[in-house]
Amino acid sequence: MSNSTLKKVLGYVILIALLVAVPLVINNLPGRAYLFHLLCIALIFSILGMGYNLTMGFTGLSNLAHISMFSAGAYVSTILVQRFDVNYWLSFLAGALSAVVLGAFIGVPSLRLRGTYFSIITIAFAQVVYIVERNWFSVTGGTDGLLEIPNISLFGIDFLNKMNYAYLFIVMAVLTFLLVKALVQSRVGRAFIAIRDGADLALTTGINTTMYKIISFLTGSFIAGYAGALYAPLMRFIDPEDFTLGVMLNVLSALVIGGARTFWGPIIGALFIIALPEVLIPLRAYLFLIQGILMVLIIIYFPGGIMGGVYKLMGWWKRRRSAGGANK
Amino acid sequence: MDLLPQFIMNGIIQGSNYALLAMGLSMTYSIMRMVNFAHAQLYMISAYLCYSVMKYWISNYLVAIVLATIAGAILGWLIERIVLRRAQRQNLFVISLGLVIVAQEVAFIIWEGFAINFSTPLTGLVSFGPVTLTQQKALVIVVAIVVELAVLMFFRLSRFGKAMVATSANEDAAQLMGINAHTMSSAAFTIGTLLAALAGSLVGPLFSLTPGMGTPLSITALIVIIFGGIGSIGGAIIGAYTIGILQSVYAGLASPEWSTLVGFVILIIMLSFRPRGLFGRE
Amino acid sequence: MSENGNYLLECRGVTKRFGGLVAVNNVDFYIKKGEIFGMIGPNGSGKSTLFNTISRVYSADGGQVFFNREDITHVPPYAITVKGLGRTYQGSKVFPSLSVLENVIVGRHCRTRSFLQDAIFRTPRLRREEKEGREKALRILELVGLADRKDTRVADLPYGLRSIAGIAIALATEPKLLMTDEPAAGLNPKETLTVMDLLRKMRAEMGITIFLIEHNMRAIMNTAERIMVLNYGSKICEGTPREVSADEQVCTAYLGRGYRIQG
Repeated sequence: MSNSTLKKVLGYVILIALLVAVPLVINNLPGRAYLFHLLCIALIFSILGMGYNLTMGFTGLSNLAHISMFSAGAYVSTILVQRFDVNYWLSFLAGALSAVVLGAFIGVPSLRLRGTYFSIITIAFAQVVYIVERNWFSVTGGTDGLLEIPNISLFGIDFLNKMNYAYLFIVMAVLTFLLVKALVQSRVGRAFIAIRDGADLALTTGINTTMYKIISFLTGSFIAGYAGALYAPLMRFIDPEDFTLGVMLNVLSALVIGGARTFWGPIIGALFIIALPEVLIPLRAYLFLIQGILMVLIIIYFPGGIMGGVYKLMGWWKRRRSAGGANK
Repeated sequence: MDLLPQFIMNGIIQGSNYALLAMGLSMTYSIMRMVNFAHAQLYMISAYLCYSVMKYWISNYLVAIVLATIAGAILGWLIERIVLRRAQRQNLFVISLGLVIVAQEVAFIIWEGFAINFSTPLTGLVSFGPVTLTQQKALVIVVAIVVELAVLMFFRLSRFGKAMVATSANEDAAQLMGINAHTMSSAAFTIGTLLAALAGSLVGPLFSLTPGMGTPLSITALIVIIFGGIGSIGGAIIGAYTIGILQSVYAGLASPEWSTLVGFVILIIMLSFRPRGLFGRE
Repeated sequence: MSENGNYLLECRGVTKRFGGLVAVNNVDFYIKKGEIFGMIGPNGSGKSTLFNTISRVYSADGGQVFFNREDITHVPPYAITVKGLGRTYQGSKVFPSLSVLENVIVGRHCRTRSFLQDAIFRTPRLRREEKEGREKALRILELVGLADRKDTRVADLPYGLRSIAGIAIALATEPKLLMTDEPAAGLNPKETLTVMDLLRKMRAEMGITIFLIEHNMRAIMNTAERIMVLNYGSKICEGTPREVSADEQVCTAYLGRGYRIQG
């Protein structure tokens, strides 16, 4: 085994050990229920962000209706469980698929437009979805939302203990990470990046850009959908205010700050927006302001976000070391 | 049906507000190719400023309007100079989304999230045939008409205005007419925010003030300029009144909950079938 | 159907309008298999617009385009590439955030099949295609002389090499006809020679027919076998470089009356 593969394997082992250990550690801390809740929310926003990264980051589609697909997953899965007594895991799947259907409904007409026009029409669609959720009382519960969403159960294990949620969400986040990575590093993902880098050139290089934009949009929607289906039972309560344009901007700024177009960016971004308010308690009132300012600064001066910076630093370190080695 | 004239009048008031916002948004797009999603945030800030000036400093509403409008314009000028000029063009829209967050949070920190009712001395009633409205509302309508005429004249008659029209059609035109492109962006953005700030201090008193009041207005102003044709000032004005009246009549006659849907449905239909808008150039 | 089987590309009455402006006006021409065919014309004469109309970035307002005797006037642009018509853009468009090697692999998109399910389950097809794609891309990079830069991000390449990277992307689509739009723009004389040699080499070794727009008179006169001249969107002249440079209309269009073009 070469040195670099060994390093890689070691990295994965440490990562897996960490993922297994974190919930165990939290389980022995005071205030663990709250900490688990935070961890789970961060994981949901990571998953949501990874899906968003696929469309917004890698394919360059500034979609502002991502939150609508998240809401579709949450509402559809919950309604199936509550009204029709469907098994959670079936409704989980149905939630994800309903997000794909909504994604097709929004994406197919919107993707004919380019650039900012595309963003604007997705805002309009997102607002339509939001207004429907607020006012279609008989189905969505209107502004009251849906209450008393039952806990998940799996193989007879009840998810009363939040640690089980944490492990489930970690598994889902890892699967999502692997899905996004596999896609982006394949022929399909290269087509996404080609579209982002130059749509005309991609087209005359033989890429059916319309089809790949739709694929990217729908895959992002699918991920948002199952993130929503995970979100509802965790919160035990959803209402339209969970899915506003404001929340969408929060997801967007998390991705920009964490680093769009990098695999770890959405995770770092989600941790950033969830963990920072807990750490910087005195600054809590200003946190969203700081987030907004950071977002603007990063777009102007540092388009790679935090992860882009980390990769740059690592590259610089490697070059410095190899230069040092050559000198010896 | 007796109420219809009243609904239409309400629509005209809304339309006046939309027109003040949409003209500025349209200018910013024409010159900078920027869809400024934070446009109505200046409206929000200046409404609050106007309220604070009256409450804590000078209780003359007229003075407060002038001060808040000037403050809004200066803020706009600063934003263009400090932030937007340094950014790449294709990022301007996403940056404006960041500015939405910043403006809302600033308002939240200074004025807190509670809805503030902001009353002006203009409470007397004016009658126009079948409809009655407050002096405040009448002022909004009159000022909007005056400003619309002034803006249209500015583009038709002044050298700078003509240069702006030329620049919106062809980006090199500014240079050809001997005007610096930076000056042009600066002017377009500042005039736009000035109009938004004016709208804020005039229309703000008609509704309660909240930090979130800007975003729906930004969206509606966007709908208006897409409806009227991006880059066309006349189209923006006509679009503003059309959408204002449609929304208000629909809310009055059918259902207020679903009335906000009207604008979005119009927008989706427009973008799907005629993205250039009603009066847009090819 | 074109009557002559030797024609790889044939345009009949191709017209493109922008609003009231006629950018390409009723242009007829043909390119024979194995030829290097040049197109010149003053700035704004419609050369790039004609390229964009043939490759279907724009749709024609009139006329027909035949490729390999097949009418491609209404075929979508990505499908035209699949049929064997590759192109580069003015200002050497590339995919700036990808490495040189990845750029060329993107070029192989239309010659590979693996899809979502292959990506998710890492099927044998995906592995085979990735391996083959890499090897073929490396061969192309060796041919164009970019092999030693394969891991550089294209955005970090010097300008002269970016133009070559653009050609390498088009080459990876396995074209029968390569349309290349001012590949030597902004290059120094030495780099220009390299690019022109590369075009000749592609024809000689891979049998690729070349359709070339070029502003550098000396380069195009020495490279192309036949040349067409466009002015205000219309074809004003066509022939061998010698014939074209002797044509009075051409000289007028380029330089005003009383000048000659130096070959």
